Amino acid sequence: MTAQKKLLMSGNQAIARGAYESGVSVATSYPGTPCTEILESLSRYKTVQAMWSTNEKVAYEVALGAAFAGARALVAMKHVGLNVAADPLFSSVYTGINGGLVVVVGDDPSAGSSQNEQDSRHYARAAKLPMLEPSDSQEAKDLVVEAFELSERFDTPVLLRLTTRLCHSKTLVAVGEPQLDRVAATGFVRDFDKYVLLPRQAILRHTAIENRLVALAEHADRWGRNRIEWRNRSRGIITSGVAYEYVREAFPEASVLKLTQTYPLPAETIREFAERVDELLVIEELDPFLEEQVRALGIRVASEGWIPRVGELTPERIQLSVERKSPQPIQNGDPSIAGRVPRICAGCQYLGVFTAITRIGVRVAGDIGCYTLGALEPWNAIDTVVCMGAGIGTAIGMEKALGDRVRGKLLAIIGDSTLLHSGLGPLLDLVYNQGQTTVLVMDNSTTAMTGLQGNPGNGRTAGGEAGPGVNLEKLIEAIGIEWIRVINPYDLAESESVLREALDHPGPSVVISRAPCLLLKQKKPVQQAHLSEEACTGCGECFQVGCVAIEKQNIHDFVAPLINHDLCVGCTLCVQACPEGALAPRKIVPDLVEIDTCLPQPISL
Amino acid sequence: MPAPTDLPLTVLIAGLGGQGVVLAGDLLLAAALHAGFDVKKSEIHGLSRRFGSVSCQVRIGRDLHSPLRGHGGVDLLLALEGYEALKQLPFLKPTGLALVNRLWRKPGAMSPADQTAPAQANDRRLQWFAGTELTHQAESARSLNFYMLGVLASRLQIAEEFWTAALDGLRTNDSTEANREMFAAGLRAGQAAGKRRPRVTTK
Repeated sequence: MTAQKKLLMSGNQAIARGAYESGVSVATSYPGTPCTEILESLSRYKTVQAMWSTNEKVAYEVALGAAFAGARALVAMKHVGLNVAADPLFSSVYTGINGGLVVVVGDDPSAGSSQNEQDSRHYARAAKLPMLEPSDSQEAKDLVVEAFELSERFDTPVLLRLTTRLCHSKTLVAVGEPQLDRVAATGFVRDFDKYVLLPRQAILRHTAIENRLVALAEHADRWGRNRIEWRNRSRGIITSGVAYEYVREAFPEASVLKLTQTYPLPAETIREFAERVDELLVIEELDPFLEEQVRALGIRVASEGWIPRVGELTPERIQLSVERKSPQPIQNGDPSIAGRVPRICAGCQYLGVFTAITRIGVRVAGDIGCYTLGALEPWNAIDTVVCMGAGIGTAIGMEKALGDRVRGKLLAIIGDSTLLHSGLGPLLDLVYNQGQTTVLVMDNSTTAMTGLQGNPGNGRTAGGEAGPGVNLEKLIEAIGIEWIRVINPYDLAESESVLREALDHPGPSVVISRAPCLLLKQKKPVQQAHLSEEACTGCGECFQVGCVAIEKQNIHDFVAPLINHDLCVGCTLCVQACPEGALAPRKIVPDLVEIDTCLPQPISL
Repeated sequence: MPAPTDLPLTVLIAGLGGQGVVLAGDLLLAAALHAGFDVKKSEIHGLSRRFGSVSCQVRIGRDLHSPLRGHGGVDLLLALEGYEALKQLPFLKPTGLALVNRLWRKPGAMSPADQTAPAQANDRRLQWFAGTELTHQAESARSLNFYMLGVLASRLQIAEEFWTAALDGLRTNDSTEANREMFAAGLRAGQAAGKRRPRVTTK
């Protein structure tokens, strides 16, 4: 061990540490894999005001405001979140900043937890801001500190691009001293030509940012982190991010140009490297972002068309692709062994709602959250899933296009957190354009899919403070929806009848299905479902509930349910679904096993 | 026997959500750190809470680069369930070794009766352990990850004191006597099995 303190940190934790050491005083985010833990980690540093924002656009604007005020601010989001925040991103490159602003974006190669596999590096080029890419946790931490210096020196937001592998890998990090003198904001100074983007100012600022890009490219050529590692010169590889580590593993003898500022690129360094190697490869994850720019410099890239553009890389995958001179398939194990499909938790309110929806039979425009799983077996209840908040708007469009053909048969589903993220605008549109779609709000009082974060609905802040939380009924009423009902999703008959009523209503309607996420309070169940084998006819209605606690067994000559009592929480949805009365709840006697084994007589319940 | 002398060493740990794969990986990481090695760990836990697969890779060595290896790059596979072992088998080197808990939970199947082992289960690199059975007998079913970590420890030349240091570093709710006992039981089972059947070197 060296004298310097080294800690094992994930990429996300390292980013948070780097922000703390940089004297960041305001940090914002909206939860999303792979970046959720950045803000969660930041909330533990006392000098940082860490906040979950309503959505990524708001998160960006709050961080920008803090930077305008002369504070160092950091905003973190997943790749698709940057699409939401793109508007302020582009214009803030024009205004410039005052205190430093670092924008962290996490891409998700292989789309492990995402609706697309976008390469967010294109944003740096499109929005004209500098971008840095770390290769491990140590560099992630160090680059946050350097990104703030770069941001303030060039008066621009800086994009720090991560990928899931880096975010979720733990490597050793030597921590530094925090710049606590930087925590206090220096103050906002009015500068009309800079901060007020009227058309004339926008053109002036555009000239300024083109000049800034030239200066940033020169900086890239002088910056030590864009580094040539000379080894064998018969093969030279240009690479960046976590792909650098794969390259070092796969081609230990090759010379490497490790690019850390990947926009704007260090053209002179690239030329120097290319001229002195026999064969030049460019190895990067997802799009040929570097490769196309290298080729635009008039440099021949031997690996053109070899590197996979879909799915995550591994050292072995790039080795094979280069060897065979063609992109090789994703390496995620034996494809003949089926993967495990994610399931809704046993006893979740969504089971009841989806069972009711399946019985009614409607077209459903879905959204992003745990309830997206309603698109899978056995319900097949959701027909479209696009992005956060897309469900309501998509339903309005279907309704306008199909008219009477979908009247009373069209439902938009959205969770409480997603509704507040980006569903209120579409809901307003539904009222404004006199649509008749029914919106089902799945209110579980949390942002469940990403790990139970606070949101404006439950009022709980990133720091753990309790707030009032929004009243959804009043909010929806104020938007102009007159027909609003709240259902108990554990009452199957009520859910079905209220949903039918809503669908029949001539005008827009909202049904709020309300029950807290079971993970919020993991209580021991007081009752569980039990099967009466004599009464069961094997109709299979209980399987349509889709509960993971309902397994299958063969009795008589048919398939009957087998309740897994390790999982059953006693919600009674399957009991209600059974038309034969073969399933019934039974109270749990504490320590049943012990009593059973101690006493000679069977216990009557 | 793969040992930290054959550096770098890559271990892949796989299982189901709730089995404690990530914790087992963290303990291996801690033991290797105490032993003075450079370590890197990569986790995949996307939908683990919802009955998905969980896996992590731990790399042990000096001046490591990649946090993970691809197909054919892993020295040791530790699996807490049969299908997870077979799913990850392409990652194992031809000379590698898989230490697998005898438990089958077929993906997509809702019935425990519907559990037949696929042909890949005959791969000679697999070595089976009755972790589920033994931890159930000891009424420590939740310590399965510790039992299998003990099995893994029997195949690594990381001194016992470093494992003890790793176990001592656990948070109080994980630092139970049952977990320590099951780790020790797994270590003994691994050592006994190692004597009976040396490391498989052919495919």
